[in-house]
Amino acid sequence: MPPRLLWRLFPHAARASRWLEQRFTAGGRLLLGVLVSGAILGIDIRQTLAYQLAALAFALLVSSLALSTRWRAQLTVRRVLPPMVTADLATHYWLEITNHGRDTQSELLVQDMLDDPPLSRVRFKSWRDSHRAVAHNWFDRAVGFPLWLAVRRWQHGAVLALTPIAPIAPGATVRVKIELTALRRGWLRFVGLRVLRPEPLGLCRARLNLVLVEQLLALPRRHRVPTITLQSARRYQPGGVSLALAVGDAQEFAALRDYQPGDPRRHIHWRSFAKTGALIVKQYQDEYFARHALVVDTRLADTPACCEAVIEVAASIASGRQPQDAILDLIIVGTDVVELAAGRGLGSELRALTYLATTPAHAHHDFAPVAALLRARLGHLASVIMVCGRDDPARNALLAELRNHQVPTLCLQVVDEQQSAPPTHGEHAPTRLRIDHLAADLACVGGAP
Amino acid sequence: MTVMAQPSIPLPRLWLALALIGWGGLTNNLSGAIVMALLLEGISAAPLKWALTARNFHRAADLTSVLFALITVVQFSRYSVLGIYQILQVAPYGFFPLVLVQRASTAQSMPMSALFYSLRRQRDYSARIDIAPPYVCLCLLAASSGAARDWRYLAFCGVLVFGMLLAARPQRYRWTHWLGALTLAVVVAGLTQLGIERSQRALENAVLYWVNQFPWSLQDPNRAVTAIGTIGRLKLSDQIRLRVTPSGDLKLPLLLQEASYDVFNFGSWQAHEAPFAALDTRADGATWAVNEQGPNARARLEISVQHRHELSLLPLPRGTRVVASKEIAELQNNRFGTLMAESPPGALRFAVEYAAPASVEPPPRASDRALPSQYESLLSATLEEIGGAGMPAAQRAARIRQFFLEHFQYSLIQPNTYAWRTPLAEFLRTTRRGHCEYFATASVLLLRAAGIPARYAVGYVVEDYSAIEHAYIARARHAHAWALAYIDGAWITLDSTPANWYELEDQRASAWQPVQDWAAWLVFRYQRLSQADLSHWTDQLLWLVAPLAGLLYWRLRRSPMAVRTDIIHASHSGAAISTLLAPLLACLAAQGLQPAPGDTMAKFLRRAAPDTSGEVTRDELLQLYNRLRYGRSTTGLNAQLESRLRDYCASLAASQP
Repeated sequence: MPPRLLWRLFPHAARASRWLEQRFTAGGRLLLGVLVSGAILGIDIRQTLAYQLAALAFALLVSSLALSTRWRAQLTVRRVLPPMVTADLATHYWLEITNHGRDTQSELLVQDMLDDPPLSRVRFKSWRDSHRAVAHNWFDRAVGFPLWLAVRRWQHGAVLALTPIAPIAPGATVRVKIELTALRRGWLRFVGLRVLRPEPLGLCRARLNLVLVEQLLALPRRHRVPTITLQSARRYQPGGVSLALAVGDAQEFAALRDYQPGDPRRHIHWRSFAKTGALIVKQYQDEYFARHALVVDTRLADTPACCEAVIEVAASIASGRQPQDAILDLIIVGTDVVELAAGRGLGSELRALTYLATTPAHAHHDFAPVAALLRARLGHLASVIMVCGRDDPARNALLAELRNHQVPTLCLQVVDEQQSAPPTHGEHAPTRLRIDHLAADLACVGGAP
Repeated sequence: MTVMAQPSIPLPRLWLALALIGWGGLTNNLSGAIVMALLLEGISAAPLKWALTARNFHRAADLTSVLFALITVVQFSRYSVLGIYQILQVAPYGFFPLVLVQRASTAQSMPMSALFYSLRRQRDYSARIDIAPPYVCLCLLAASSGAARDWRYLAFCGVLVFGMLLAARPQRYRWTHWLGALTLAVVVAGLTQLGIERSQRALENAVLYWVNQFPWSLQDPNRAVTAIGTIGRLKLSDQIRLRVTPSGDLKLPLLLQEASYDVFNFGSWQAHEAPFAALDTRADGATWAVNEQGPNARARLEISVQHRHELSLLPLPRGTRVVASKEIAELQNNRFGTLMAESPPGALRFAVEYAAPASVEPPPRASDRALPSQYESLLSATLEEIGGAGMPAAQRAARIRQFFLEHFQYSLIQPNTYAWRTPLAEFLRTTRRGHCEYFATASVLLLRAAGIPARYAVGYVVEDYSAIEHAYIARARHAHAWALAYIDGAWITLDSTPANWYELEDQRASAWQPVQDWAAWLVFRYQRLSQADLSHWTDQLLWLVAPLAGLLYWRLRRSPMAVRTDIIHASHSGAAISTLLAPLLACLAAQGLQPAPGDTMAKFLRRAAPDTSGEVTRDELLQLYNRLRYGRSTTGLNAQLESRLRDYCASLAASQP
């Protein structure tokens, strides 16, 4: 961990860097560099004349800052966001900026801003431990500031660039396209935006802060998963296909047939009786689906990145192709249970993805409630797909129990090769998915467990 | 990683050339600057450009680093700390290859990874930078070191900076706004400059006063500030200051005197009315007769001394007759026999011929007898304690020396503070402990009180022999002070500091001293080598420049990366995209394969380029190219395409007969 003093300096350094980037143009930053270099080199005015250059740079920057202190433009902005985005997939949204003033506004820049949640030392430490091996240089490893910045960017959810705005005539509205690539799943919370205007010398920018709170859901990153075919028995689905999500005993209409004694009177098809004069009844067919449960166990994930990878795998499976008679019935993350019944055109995978996008990755939760939930539903479940982190006796016991009850299971274990123990071999060994080769390993998943 | 593109700063045309010529004119590098300016602008105007890859830029940056490191080493070895200004002055030479390479490239910018080594391992980092504007600023800074103190430098800065501001002027404002803002800035600049000059002078005076409190400050021929009264432990470094090689046997310890002074006041010794005058050389231009009187010189020493300034005092044995050195441009002396040489900073080697034990010097003046009034009673009381009134001068001086040797101790620690200006009195009366400056000062004052003219002398004691260097050496901690007494028509050295001071100093030597000595010896050897006259070698090497330049041009001209910019612009739209496949287009053009009118890139390549070259397929290149041109996420693709393209072209070039 960086020393406490350094840790306290990190936010200030980041703020200063952001301030420099927004407040000064490229020319202004170059002149600032000249000022600092000239001041250092010109400290002895008898040796060099660099102090004259430093004085000139200082005067230009001070004048520019003075000329860019206040700016009151009558601008309103509307953010046009897509319904949702997917992490790590480049997309864009629009800003509609209207000029209510009397002057044309040109050479403006806009910086959209995301929420800036605090970062605790503990959370940073877990990130740092997991990223130590991939730290780029000794400075990153020793001080950790670049990694700190990376974690902050990840927390923000996206990096939004300064974007130029086309000239806006009085009363006109322009649309500005903002490139967006979500760095993580979950809510991206927009808190406001900043419009920047250069001052006459073109060295500094005046800022106009606008509050505009909105949020955008980023779905988890997903990988291609082949059709997972588990050798599972089909289970009776009360209500059939159309009512798979409803409550009750409704069944699926199959055909009309002659009345047999004992048929319930409410099954009589009265229209046919009116036409033919004979009692005709509606025949219903019971539906049997392969009902899968997806258990996402983020406990014992080696690192925060591993935790996220577990969610990614679960999202990939939830949105992947299901066999014709399969529905994804349950998702259990931590101790939360979501009943979905998605598949065969039922329900919506979006619901599963939305849930997975917003659910927190519990690193520490009790596994006993999960086991109890599964045991209670054993009669309905055709198979269980479990996505998890490191090996765990409680989980292994549950898997053994499921196998004893003839419930086919597929256990996908997401591991960080640099941190986890070597793989175990055996008939019931989990399928290992390496965090650095997630897409490739997932493409090989499938078939019998 | 997503990285924002670095916005480039617009630079007016010919601005680089103007910056270089201005820098050259102000720092006497005009011919070099004109050549560089012509090269830069010539290559900018030429239709031929090279589709350089990131790797090419990395090599250029590495070359620049090596060049800059060489400049740094050479300048530091020649000018020591002040070398930083010399490095600054020639910095445009060091960074020139990088700018030239950028100007010769089709992209007209370079990857940031060329400047930061750590970024080279981040394959997805694709930010680029145009280093032309920073180079203009470098020229401005470089011109500040060496420019004459007149209006020209400020005018040069003003023209370049205001020109760049004009090029980047926001168009949303009227001209009057821009000019008004500029006027405000100029006024502030004038006031700032005035303030800086005044503040600097005030600061300098304060700092100089503070620095002068330390005995290890650079020796001033007109003033020596002692550390008398300084609290705590005095510590001088183990750094080797002098190397002495005698021609025969050397009597040790050898005192090498740098300067002597006659007026004592408030802890400092001054040389009263002792202006320096240049000495005439002999016919060879490298030998100076310092003192023609007295017996002929019998002993000869070769002395190397480290010094930081162009003017330095020569440490000399008493009775020096002749000084000889090719490295000394001018030698001056004053009435005390202090010699000041003008030579390049660094290691100065000179030979000395001297006749021991005494020399003939001008007789004493009234200032050599003067006593500070505040010490008169104290000195009288001390002389009474010493006794020997009425004795001859030589015996009286010997008694004074004996008095110090018997009743005083050498110490570098001064634990107590005393009332204003009384530490010397405390030394004589109470503590009787002190370092050589106490002993020398007290001796001089006592000698004068006894009626013997005396002076205060500073220099080094040489007693150590270095087996590494095969020479006698004196370290910084061997700096010493002693008294000179005028007895029987000659100035005699009177060192009253207890003889054990040398051992006491050596006991405090660092454990790392042998290592430091080795390093010092290596640096010294390098300095000697760099100061050697190698001009005949460089003259010979100059003949190589023309054929090497021709060979370089021939190789660049035939390089598969050479592209005519007009072809690129005619074939494709969008300068940045058009250069993506430029190396491949150049390869194919070398084989006489040109895109037909209306050809798309895919159509042309499918017709002209082989399916596979090396391990790279043509379709793979096309796919990357299309993703870069039309894809939404282009992060990291540029580097990937560059790498694959390089392999493809290399294999293609190798397969050609």
